Amino acid sequence: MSSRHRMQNRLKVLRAERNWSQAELAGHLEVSRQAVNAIETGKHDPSLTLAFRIARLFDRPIEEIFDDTTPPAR
Amino acid sequence: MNPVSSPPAPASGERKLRAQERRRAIPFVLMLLLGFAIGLGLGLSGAGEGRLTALPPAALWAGVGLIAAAAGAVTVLWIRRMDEVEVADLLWSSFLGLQVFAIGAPCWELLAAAGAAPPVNGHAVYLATFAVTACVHLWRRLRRA
Repeated sequence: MSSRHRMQNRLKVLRAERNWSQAELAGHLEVSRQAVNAIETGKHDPSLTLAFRIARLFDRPIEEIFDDTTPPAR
Repeated sequence: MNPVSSPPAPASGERKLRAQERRRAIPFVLMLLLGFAIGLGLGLSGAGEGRLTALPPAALWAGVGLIAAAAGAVTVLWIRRMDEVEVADLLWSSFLGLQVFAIGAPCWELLAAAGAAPPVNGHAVYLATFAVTACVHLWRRLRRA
């Protein structure tokens, strides 16, 4: 792994807007509920394929859901 | 007045997830059945009492080939139904398990050759590889829980 920096994402907010459970979202994305949880909590960065699937599901551009901006150096 | 509404139907995504989980359970059920069949077969053949040597080598080869083919088919089925987080878990656990085998075994052999350790025990290497793989896999799963 070249970097430990994880992407930020708005998946939890978007899911809440639709009043979906993690299981509901997982079913739509064809992944496990654990995978949705891992992405939401930043423990897993989704593949490009899954990121596109998420973007299409919520009808938003990828960069509106995922943010790879490096946090400012301390 | 509150509008009369029917009870909410189960969410389609949750239904899809339940169907996916059922499909994902199939390889595990097959693995259990395969393990049971192998155990039963070995028990009935009297493998523990050394009766396997009485079988013709061709029958032994066919039996082992059948087991390997069935285990391979179930593994392919299992991998194809994984999502990418599970694949990442598998990659990490397999990689670290391989390190135990690829680094640990030659180091042990070197030490054994120098007389600083007992001779390499294949069973111990196999168990260590398996244990590390299983522990890393479990750790990856638990840290997400």
